[in-house]
Amino acid sequence: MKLRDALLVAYRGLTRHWVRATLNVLGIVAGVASVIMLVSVAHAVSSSAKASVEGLGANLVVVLPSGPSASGIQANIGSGSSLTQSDVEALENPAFVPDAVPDGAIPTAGVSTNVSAGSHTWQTDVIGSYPGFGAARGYTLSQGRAFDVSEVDSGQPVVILGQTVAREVFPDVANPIGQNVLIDTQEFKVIGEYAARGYSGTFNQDDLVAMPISTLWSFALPTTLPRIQQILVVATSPSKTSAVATEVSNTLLHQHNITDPALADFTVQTQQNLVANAEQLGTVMQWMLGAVAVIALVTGGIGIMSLMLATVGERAYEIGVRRAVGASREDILGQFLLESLLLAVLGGIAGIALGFGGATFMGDVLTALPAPVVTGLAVLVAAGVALVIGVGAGLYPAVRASLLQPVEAVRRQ
Amino acid sequence: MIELTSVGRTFGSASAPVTALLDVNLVIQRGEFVAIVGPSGSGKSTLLNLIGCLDQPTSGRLFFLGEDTSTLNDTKLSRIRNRSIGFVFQMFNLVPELTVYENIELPLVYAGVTKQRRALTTKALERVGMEHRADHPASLLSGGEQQRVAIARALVNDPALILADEPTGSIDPASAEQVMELLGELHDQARTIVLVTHNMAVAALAQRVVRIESGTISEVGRSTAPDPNGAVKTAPPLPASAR
Repeated sequence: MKLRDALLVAYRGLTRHWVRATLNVLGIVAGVASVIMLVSVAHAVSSSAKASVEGLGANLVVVLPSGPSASGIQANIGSGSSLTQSDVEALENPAFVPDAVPDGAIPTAGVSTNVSAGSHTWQTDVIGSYPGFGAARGYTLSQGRAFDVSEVDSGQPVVILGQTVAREVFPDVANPIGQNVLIDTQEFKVIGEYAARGYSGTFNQDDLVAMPISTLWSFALPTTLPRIQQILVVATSPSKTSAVATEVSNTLLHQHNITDPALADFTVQTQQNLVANAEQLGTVMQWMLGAVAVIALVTGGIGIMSLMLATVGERAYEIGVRRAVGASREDILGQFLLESLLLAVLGGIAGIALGFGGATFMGDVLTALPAPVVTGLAVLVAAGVALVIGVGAGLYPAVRASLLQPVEAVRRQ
Repeated sequence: MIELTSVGRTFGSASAPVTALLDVNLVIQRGEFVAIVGPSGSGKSTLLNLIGCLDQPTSGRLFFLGEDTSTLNDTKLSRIRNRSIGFVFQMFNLVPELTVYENIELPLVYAGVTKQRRALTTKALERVGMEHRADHPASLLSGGEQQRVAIARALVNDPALILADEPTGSIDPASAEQVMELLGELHDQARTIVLVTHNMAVAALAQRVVRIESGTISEVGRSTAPDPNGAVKTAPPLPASAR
């Protein structure tokens, strides 16, 4: 039998029950599409998570409080923080942390609260810190000025607005500098505005208010929250971050009188290991979503198998006729394998198209999510799995069909 | 052409065997027109299926053109069915979803014939006078028409042997007459014909009648019509019981 004829026979076999074939191929379509869509979303989320950590700044070391870790398990206990003002002072000491820039230790604390001016109210993150905060986190001023050391020392009620906050609270005011805002009934004077930075991942970097940390302590920070929630330490260069991390760690262990590093009540992270964490998380997420999608594909395969099995039973008569006029076992095997292969290929193509469309659609609708990126790998994996499943699901029914005795089949009309 | 030596065919499991054929010895010469007759369940169709390589004997040997079929694999047996045998069944056994043309073409498709396919198929169509129905689905034809299509399919590959299992059993008398006329013509072209029937009027058209009862051959006799060429022409109208 010529291949062209075999293809034609398979095609006719499918179009004969095209509604059923279509319904069954939907399983493969959905499977392939979901592999592509989910892996694309996972890929996008993980690369944006990576980007958002990278947005921290390459020479930043972050110190976070944590409960004492026993046997490697870290517990964040209550609202108490293990980080203190004297820790900050120690970390500012070039004798202890020689690879940090001068005044490179910047404590921060924050609270999510309402900021209002006139009738406009906006909930945002209010961050208290040192003058170096903006530079350390990569913010530049578009208008006005930053607060200075004396304003930190005296706890002046001055704020710098992120672009989003400025737009929401002063929708009609081009230049909010010199205006007043209310935070928890306390008036603050706007002295600066950060230039727009946009989103990093799902995080809106422009949705914040910065003020001296002492001001935050006096006026805005609830007593239930820790006074120092993290300390940023700026290394002299990105290549010095691991050295700084070690120096910071040693300094704080000494400060806290801890001899065993495993019992440290803080964690020190560099941007590099945050990036690595984000990458690892992204990979895990891609595999997880990919696995879910492959399950959908396998389900599609089972659909094909049940269709083909039913078809073989139903077409025993036709198989017998074909056998009687000279079809060999291989011809019958080939015919049914080709039919399921054809289903899988058509389903695969439709699935890839739907996957592309779906990923684009998700990007348009779920604006909070980063735009999904359809990777060639996802398409290849989806198409490959669809093919394998198509042939695999078709194999058993095809073998069953080919093993029908010609006379048995003719008898079964 | 065909030789059966003590052929037996048993169905069912070893513990509860059902014997369909027992110790059948039969030789069919090239160019013969043989009718196999016998009551229902006597094993006629089983014998025909064995001769047609649709089935294999459970004991004894069956030689097709000098070859022991028990030594042939599925591919070789399929090849014999495809090239050397044309089947005509009582229920026509067309593929209902295919058109008349596509049904007739089937043996050529499996033979891998491409260039000659259209010409051969059209010739077979014309031979049975069904060219006006070429593009009709086979399922929409009357019984008599379906049987003519089945005959066209049986002869499209120009086989040496035509096997017919109650070919007039499901069609009206006029169509039955046409079918028998066609079979007679095929025999006149030096083809071997083996026909299964329980209708003696149909069997009378053959040169030789093999009677089978309870799985064994009980009698081999000459047909009442000695001249095969004359037999077709002088065949009496088939009685209603031929259906």
